[in-house]
Amino acid sequence: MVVAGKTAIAVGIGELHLTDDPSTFLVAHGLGSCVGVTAYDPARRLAALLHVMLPSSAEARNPGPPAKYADTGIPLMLELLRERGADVRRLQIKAAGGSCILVSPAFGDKFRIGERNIAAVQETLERLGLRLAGQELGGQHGRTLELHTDTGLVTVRTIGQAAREI
Amino acid sequence: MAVEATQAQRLERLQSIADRGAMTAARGLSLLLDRQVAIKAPSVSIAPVEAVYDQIGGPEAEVVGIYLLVGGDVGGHIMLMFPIAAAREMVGLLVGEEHRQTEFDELSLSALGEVGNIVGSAFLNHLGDYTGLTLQPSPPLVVVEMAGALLDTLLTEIMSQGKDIFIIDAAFFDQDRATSGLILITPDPRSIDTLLASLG
Repeated sequence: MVVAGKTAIAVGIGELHLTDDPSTFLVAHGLGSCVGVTAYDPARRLAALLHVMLPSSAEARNPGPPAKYADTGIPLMLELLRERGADVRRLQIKAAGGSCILVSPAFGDKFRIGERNIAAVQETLERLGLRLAGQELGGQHGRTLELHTDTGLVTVRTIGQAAREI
Repeated sequence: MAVEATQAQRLERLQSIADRGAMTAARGLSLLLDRQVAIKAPSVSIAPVEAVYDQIGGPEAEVVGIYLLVGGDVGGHIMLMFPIAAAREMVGLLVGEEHRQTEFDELSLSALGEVGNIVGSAFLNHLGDYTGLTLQPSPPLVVVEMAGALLDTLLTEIMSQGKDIFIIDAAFFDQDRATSGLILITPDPRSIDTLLASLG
């Protein structure tokens, strides 16, 4: 898909994508309880987007791809960025998502994964000595998250509201 | 000596239960809406199908989601998704044209919830009759959201139990045979063994 002359690179659930192609932007569509984590090195104009689905790979019997989990996906993203010449201290790291859309007293302890994903992203970053430079986390609405490779601009959209920078 | 059914036979039985559920749901909705509603023969698959929402305009498409949590002997989830235009059309048919143009009000949301009740109970009744399992749907929750965010919420809840996921999906057709909505039914992974065992 091409939007305003730029090509969208859609990052699906449990995927991680890196790019330094300034004609592209990375996008995670319709984040619900998933959390999208972006990292951008302004000096190298290198962009990464991780689409976290679950908090911890330790809970899974057959974990599958490490990018699915906050605790393994974030270190993997940093490693790949480093391999491509990024300086971790320079990275602008932002996150959006982790909402709880299906809220009802009838659902008991279901649908709390969003909160747990947020906590896991924050804990993993803290453990690595990193912090979020921007965020829009929690709440009750789905979000679309974009990171523009040429400028590092990160935006969030929800239904019925204009895109905003985080 | 009783011979235990193979996995393939059980899935076949589940498929035929789902087919009958779809027929009953279509009949119930046709009566409720007073117009012909068709539901495509459901497909039963073992893996999540991220592609399902491509049928209703992609992950960012604004849809009405009608969700029921299933409790009882087998836990699970029922989610219906309709593009806004299709949901408004149903609201017009159910509670009157004057509700069709405005924001979804309480009456419209409760009418859409009823659509969820009819479809959900059609599938659950057939499954309960065949298996003898007690299956109890929650009251429906109706939300307006991005299709991807709804599916993502459902998938993460299921995947957090850390096993295979197992989905029955079906589509509504309008009179022009275009897809006008989706039905997703999925047991909790930890209930899959109970469900399959109950199929003979």
